[in-house]
Amino acid sequence: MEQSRALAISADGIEAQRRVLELIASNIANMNTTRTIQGGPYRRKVAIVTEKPLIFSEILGSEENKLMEIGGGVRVADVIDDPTPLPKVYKPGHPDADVQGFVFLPNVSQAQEMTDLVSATKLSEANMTVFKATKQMLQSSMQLVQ
Amino acid sequence: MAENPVVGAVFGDTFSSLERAMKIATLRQEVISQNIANANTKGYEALAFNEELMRAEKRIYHPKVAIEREMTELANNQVAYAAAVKLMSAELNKMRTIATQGRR
Repeated sequence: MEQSRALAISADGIEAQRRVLELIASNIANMNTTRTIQGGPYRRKVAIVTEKPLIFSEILGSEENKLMEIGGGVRVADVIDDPTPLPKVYKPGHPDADVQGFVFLPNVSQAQEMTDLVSATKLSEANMTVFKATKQMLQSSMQLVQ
Repeated sequence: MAENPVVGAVFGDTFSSLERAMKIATLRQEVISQNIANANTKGYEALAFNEELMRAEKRIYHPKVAIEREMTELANNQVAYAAAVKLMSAELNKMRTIATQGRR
């Protein structure tokens, strides 16, 4: 089922972008969170996206039985906290202020999140376009048995 | 397909050529999907599709994924695949005609 492999890869791409979107939602929702369950202010979450290698030679070669062990696609391998320093503001009345009256805020920048949002949405759409195209190809080959 | 002597005698290698064209288009589709799925993957290099090089188990890469290039490839590939399917369907019709003419 080589065709559905292309479908699976595109589906993988959509899924990875959806997970990126979830993180963006979480980042924006927590833009002002100064106290988390782990303690300390919220840190921006970043997805580490990695490739699942695509092996192709088996189709052009002769070994049909190698078809089964094929990957291809993309996945979110890990979610890490953005290590950039947290901005510090002077707010003496704040419940999470330290003795000098400084509060550490999350290192989430709205502009950055919005840029990431557009990029993830567009990529998701691109993957959907490829998915639709592959599906159409698959359907057209069904005409052969009519 | 080509191994079948009857099919081979009637169609020559048309069938196997078309089958091959469809296989290659399928593979190309996978490469396009992979490149687009990994458009934002850090360090990913876009795989360039080249049948001869792939058969020699060599790969060439573009340093970055360009969505425009991949979309152009996608459109090209769709047309190529559709053409192969159409031709194959025509061949099958030919075969059907030959097979049913004896009834008259």
